[in-house]
Amino acid sequence: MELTASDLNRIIKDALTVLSIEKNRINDLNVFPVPDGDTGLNMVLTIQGGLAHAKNFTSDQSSLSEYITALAEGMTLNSRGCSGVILALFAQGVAKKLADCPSDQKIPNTEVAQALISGYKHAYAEISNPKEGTMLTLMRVFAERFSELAMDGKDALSIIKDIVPDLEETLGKTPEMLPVLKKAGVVDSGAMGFLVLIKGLATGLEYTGTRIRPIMNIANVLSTSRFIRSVVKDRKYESGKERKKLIPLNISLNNITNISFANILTLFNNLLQRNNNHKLAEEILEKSDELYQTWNPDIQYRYCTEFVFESDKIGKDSIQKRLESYGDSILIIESGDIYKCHIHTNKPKDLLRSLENLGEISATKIDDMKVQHKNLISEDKEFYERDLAVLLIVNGEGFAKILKSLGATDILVYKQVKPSVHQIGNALFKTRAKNIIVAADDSDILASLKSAITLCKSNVELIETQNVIQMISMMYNFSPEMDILSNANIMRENLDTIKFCRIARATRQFKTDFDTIPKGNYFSIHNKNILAHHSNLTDLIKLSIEKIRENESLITLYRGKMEKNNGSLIAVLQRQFSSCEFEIYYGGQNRYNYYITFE
Amino acid sequence: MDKKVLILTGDNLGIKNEQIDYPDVAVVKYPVVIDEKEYFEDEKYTAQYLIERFKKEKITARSQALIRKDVVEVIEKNKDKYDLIVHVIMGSNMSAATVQMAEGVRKEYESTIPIINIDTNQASSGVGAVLLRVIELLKEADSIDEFISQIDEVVKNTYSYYCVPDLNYLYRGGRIGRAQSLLGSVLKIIPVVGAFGEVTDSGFLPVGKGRTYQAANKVIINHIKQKMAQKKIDKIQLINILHFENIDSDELKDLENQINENLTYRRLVHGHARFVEAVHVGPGTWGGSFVLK
Repeated sequence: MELTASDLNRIIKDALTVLSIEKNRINDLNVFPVPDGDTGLNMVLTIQGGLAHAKNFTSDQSSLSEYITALAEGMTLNSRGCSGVILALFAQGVAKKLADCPSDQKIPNTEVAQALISGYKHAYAEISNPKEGTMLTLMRVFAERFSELAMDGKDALSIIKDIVPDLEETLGKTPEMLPVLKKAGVVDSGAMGFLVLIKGLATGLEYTGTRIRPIMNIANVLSTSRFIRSVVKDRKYESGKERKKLIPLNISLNNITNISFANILTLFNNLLQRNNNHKLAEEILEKSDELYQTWNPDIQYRYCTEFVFESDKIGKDSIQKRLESYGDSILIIESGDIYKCHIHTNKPKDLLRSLENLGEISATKIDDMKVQHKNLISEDKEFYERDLAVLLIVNGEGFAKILKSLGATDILVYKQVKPSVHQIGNALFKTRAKNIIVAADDSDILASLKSAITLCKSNVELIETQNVIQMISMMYNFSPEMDILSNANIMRENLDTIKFCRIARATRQFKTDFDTIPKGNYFSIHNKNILAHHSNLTDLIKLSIEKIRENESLITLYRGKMEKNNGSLIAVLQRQFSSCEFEIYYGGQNRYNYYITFE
Repeated sequence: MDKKVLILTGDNLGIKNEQIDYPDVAVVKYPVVIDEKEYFEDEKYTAQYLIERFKKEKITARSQALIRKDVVEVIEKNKDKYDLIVHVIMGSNMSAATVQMAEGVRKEYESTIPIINIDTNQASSGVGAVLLRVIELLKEADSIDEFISQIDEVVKNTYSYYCVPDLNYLYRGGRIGRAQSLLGSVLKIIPVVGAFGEVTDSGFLPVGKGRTYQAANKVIINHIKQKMAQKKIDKIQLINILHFENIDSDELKDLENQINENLTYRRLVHGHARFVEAVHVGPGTWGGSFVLK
């Protein structure tokens, strides 16, 4: 594989775009282990997190193995749901093998094959009860077929392309391997997601697969199946008058992707032709009940809970044992002293509390799968009023106005307290848009935001901004004329185009690696580092500009809530930096006195 | 090709007449009405003239559709000398009247000489870019049919972008289309608007915004790169860039630099703003048109 890190980054980005296109279709297949309808989204968010983590390793100076290691690490830390965790495990196994390769950026196909084998074996080994008929099966087939074809003299991407038909065949067999899939009438959602990803890797944006959404999603399938059941149960099909009303059920089977439902429809059409066939009627009742029950199981453990646990006091086995007493679907990924944990439980808070004394818990995410399930099987009823919305979550009324005037359609403004999953969910709901681009101005909001997205029926693209300046930058590139994915791609690529610093006041004395900041002093932060501090705010602003400015010509100050409109500040700065143009706007942010941008 | 073809167009082109590298061409002038008096482009009445007046005085200016009599005059003069007339027209999304007039003329002369009207979905440099690309294809084609079969692709794959510091000129001229959404920003921004060959139901479209000319140019580059990726195009066939006020401007130089650094292209033309075009863009505008196929 004569690829550079930057080549591979582009290929994975394209594959992610393909996966994003298909994510809602994949969500709709999600019945195992719990029908919570988030497989596609979880896979997208996991890879998105991996790509963001590997961003600094995409230059020509970085080796392929450095890039893949960073990607796997990012996927592990950002993995969501069972599908995301399994995908991260696979990436971890691949990265582990490739880390041993010499960093001359050329990896022979035989090494790639070994890495893929290592990937699937790692995923199987780390899961307590690996099931065939899931993503794991496709990973195994993929790695095995690649190994068989590795010596064919073709490049890796061509080999991957050749393997796609085998994977499609295996996907088709997943209902035979996992009975719950057969009852639900679907192939495995994670396996489908993995296939889409592989297709995306092989064909990039040329992918033409199954972009067209089937005319019936699972909610429509279930309601139509219930309707058929009621017709059969009440024997309405026997009356000529009532039969006319059933004409809309004459749906082409080509448009039905749910095998069980297609079977019910075929039986029903036979019943209509034969009129009174008791055996057929019984079979329809039985099949439709089975379909309904499979998609409406008793969810034993309600909360899909994930967190990162860092501890040198207990190891993976002890963590596993502790988790087992709280629920099921336990998956733990180990990376040194850091463990990414996934569990379905009814007592997430108790579980987290029980681990608090043994290590540090971070990146906690708790999804209510009962709500997700209800969302999955409920029907859309003329809900959408527009095609595309941009929802931004921001601190500061001033910034809210600025972002709105730059094209954001919906803004959720928060003050001191960051918004909850419920509040974000409501804001997403209120957009009434089929497609939503969403971002928040603080990375601490990301976990709630991701949970809220899983409850949203719209197609959501999350832009992982970390501050309001990145949000301004993303809005510079927003065009309502482009589709959601094109917008999201351009936005993500241009998040860091505006250089900036922020200024705050020390509420207590604190030390940095090089200095002590006295209480009451103002200090500036640039690229997450303390740049300078001073007791006088104007002097600190001047100092910060001196240190940061290179050849930028426009300097903008966004004043916080605590700063009055100080006209003389701009005059002072203009005198000192006469070659620059200065502008000042009200941002209204709580925490920082000023954001200063350099453009 | 053994057929003789006349190219007919208006002077809303974003290039000088001398830049049209084809011998058989007729350029008809658009009328410009300034404070209710009609003018046509000549040595005095140029884009620079009008922009200077915009800056110094409070004048009102508007453009009108091509005059039918002028178009007919060209056809009458040439109908016996040519086998075909190709009329490259400003987009019907920008000036429906001109396209309707051209269609009327085409029907009137149907039995005399075939006329192909190319509705470019563009204005200014976009029309010029389509015109230059059409001429290239005409020179390369072995037959009229081959030439005609390529025109639609050229139109659909042409994208124009303009950085317009003051959108009010477009607004007053009724050309702003959906780019109206760029009006009313709290921040001082340079709006970037576009005309896309495949979009026929709007005047200019909103593309993005920048707060400096470099940032606005980057928006153009990002957008065209995205279009190239979507259409699987590695090399742009033709680019026409221009500044409506000052061809030596930093803005235009930066755009050219960013194009050279980020895009692969076959031909780049330094365009020239025409009198009629200045009516709609006002001072300080620059941009470029990209023909992808």
